[in-house]
Amino acid sequence: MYLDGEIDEQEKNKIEEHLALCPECRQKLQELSSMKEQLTSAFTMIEIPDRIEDKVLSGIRQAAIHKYTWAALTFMIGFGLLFLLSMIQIFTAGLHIFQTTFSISRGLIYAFPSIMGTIPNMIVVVSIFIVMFITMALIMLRYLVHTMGKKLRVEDI
Amino acid sequence: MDWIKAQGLKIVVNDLHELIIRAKKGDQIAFRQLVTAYKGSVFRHAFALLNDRMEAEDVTQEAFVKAYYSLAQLKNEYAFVSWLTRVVTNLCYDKNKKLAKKKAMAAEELNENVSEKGPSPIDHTLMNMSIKEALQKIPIDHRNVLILREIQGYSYAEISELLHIPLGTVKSRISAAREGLKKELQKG
Repeated sequence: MYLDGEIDEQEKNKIEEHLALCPECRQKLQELSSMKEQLTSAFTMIEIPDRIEDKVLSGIRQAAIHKYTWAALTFMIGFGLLFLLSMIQIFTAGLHIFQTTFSISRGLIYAFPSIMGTIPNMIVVVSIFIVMFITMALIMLRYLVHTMGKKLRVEDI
Repeated sequence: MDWIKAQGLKIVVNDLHELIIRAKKGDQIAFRQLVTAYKGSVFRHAFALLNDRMEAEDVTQEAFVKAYYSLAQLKNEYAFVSWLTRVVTNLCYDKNKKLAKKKAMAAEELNENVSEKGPSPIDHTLMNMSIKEALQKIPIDHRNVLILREIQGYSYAEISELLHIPLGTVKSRISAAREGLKKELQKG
């Protein structure tokens, strides 16, 4: 502290009084003082590298690129995950609709024979209906053809 | 106005304050001028701590880049220098840990090849240590406070505030650093 001048006047005087009487302490002080000078001169004389300013500004640009690259990468990954999630949801919903439709169709297919079996003579009834439907269709077709033919004969005269 | 010598230029404190304010707003020209003003002090500090020019240059560059991106968070422009010194200290401490690991690994490999008889007489001449090398032998905490006092010119109170350590710790570390340095020089 005495060497660095970091003591008050009173303490300084006491130390100087002691130094005047103690050669050992004087020697030690001299050694420390010499070491202090060596240390100061060793580092104050060093050459400062050139173009540190350019390197710093280059470092600033690199850091900015690095930051933006990470930001862009994070955004892309986030967007990609969101897209994937929405695709999975759509796929899951579509799959669910398909499964439901398939289940309904399968149910109907399995149910048809059962329905047919519960009503007595159901097959006979259905057959009669089909025959009647075809007969009606033929009658109407014949009437249509007959009507169209009469019209032609009158136009010709 | 107070005058400060920085890199051989006399720069007015108010001008530095102005530069810092402009640099905070993203003015790269102002920041470049700040780098010019403080590069010597920063490099000297880093070199004294690490005793390696390349590493010191890396730390200097990294410190200023960090300072650029953290400048907006600096509340008091007048605290720029102490804040920058803290950044350099932390970077050097990290570098020192990495270098110590590398040296330990290299030493392990070397020990396998060294003769059991010990170093040759020629090696003794290499053991006469310079003060820079002797400085590297003392613990980095002690080294740092000694550098801040002897090379950077900070007072004990300023070092205490800078490193967030009690004043008593600063005094004991400087004393221990000087004793340690003296012993290392005497060994050489």
